[in-house]
Amino acid sequence: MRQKEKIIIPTRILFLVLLMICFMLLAFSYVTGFSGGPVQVVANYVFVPMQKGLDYLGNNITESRTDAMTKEELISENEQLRVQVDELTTQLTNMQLQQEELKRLQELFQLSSDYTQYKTTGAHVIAKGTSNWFNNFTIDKGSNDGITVNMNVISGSGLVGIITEVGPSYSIVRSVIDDNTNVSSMILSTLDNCIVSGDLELMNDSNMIELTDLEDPDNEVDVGTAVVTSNISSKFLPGILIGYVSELSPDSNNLTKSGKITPVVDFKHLQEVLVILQTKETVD
Amino acid sequence: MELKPFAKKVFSYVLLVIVYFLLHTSVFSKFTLGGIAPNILVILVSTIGFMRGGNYALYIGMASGLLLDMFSGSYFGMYAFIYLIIAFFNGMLRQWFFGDDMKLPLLLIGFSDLLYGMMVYGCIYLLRGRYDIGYYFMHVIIPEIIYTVLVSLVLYFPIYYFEYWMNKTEKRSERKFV
Repeated sequence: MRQKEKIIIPTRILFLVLLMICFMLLAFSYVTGFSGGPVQVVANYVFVPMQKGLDYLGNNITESRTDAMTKEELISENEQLRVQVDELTTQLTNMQLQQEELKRLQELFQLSSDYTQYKTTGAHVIAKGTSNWFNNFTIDKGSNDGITVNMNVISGSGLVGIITEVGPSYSIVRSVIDDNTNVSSMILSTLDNCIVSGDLELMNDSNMIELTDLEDPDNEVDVGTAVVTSNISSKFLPGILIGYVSELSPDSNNLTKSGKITPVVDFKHLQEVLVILQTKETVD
Repeated sequence: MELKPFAKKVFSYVLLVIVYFLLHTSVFSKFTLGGIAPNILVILVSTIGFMRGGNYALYIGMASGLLLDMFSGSYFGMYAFIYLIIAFFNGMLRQWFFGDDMKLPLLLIGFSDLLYGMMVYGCIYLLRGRYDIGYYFMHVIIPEIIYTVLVSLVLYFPIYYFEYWMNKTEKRSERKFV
């Protein structure tokens, strides 16, 4: 057998070279915020369609399970829902009256608060976290749909997270309950500022996240108080509901308080989210 | 080396990584037990490591890690680093591996996942002042190892037969070109 000239790199050398590349990538991404560059576009056309397909299949399976409800169940559910609709309609008319009054008063005071009128776009969650240590997920909309990094993501009435990376037709969301997240927030009733941060340990144990650095000298904040994103946060738009206070106790310095918050969003069963198409404008 | 068998080989490995990556992020992440998902890519990287070893394992480890980095949105390069070390470690133990025995693969996959857990904890959590290692050990690392080893009872065999098939085609193509 004729020996061919073949260049084989010894495994140890290759290992060291690849390790060096990893460190260089880490340093490079730390300095410039690089996260894949041109490779992202490839990933976009290879993985995102497949992830979408798998997600669609998975949803169909779970949906067909709910399809199997009996007629009686559906009828009774329908009745319940009708009653609920009536209740909600009366509530809604009341609210509309109050809203009109509020608008009038705001006009009188020349205030215009447009917290609730953020423009949003809906997106599906197509892949969940890459590891048990982090809480991030992929959604099926990206820069082609006008999404940019640092846009806020909500679901129903609560804050879900923030966009950390955008590809042409996918983006990655880091959720509020991730161990890495810190949100500058405030108590809705007293407007006192505090910091809300995700904690893997707390989330695993009791589905709660941490609240720290709350100044509350008059003991006005109580269990059940709503916590929203603050107006001084650099990345989160003001007034988005995060959750309700579940526990609160004074810190050892007797100046601040800390405790726990139960988030309003059900992070375990997240399927659709809304992305707010607006980033917070800050002076840099 | 002839181009055609080589291209076929690369293509097959790319396909394998894609399938296991999709299983990791889109399928098994939905079947969590107590909030814990199994680590499918550790099964792939570790198995290729001790079955084939060498440069292939390193390339596959690096590729899987970079894919995860791309879809995790922070610290680009961290997963590549971790999976590279897992691939190298398993590649070193290749001479212990004999075909049909299931004990060693399971042990190595479990150990690789332990290595993975410890490295993520050490790289990210410890540096941010989360010192309660006992908690993370009992509630994240150990459950993940158990789940991963259980899943690997099934997902080990596709890789095993893939490697078997690769070896056969390699030998055949070698014979053809003598």
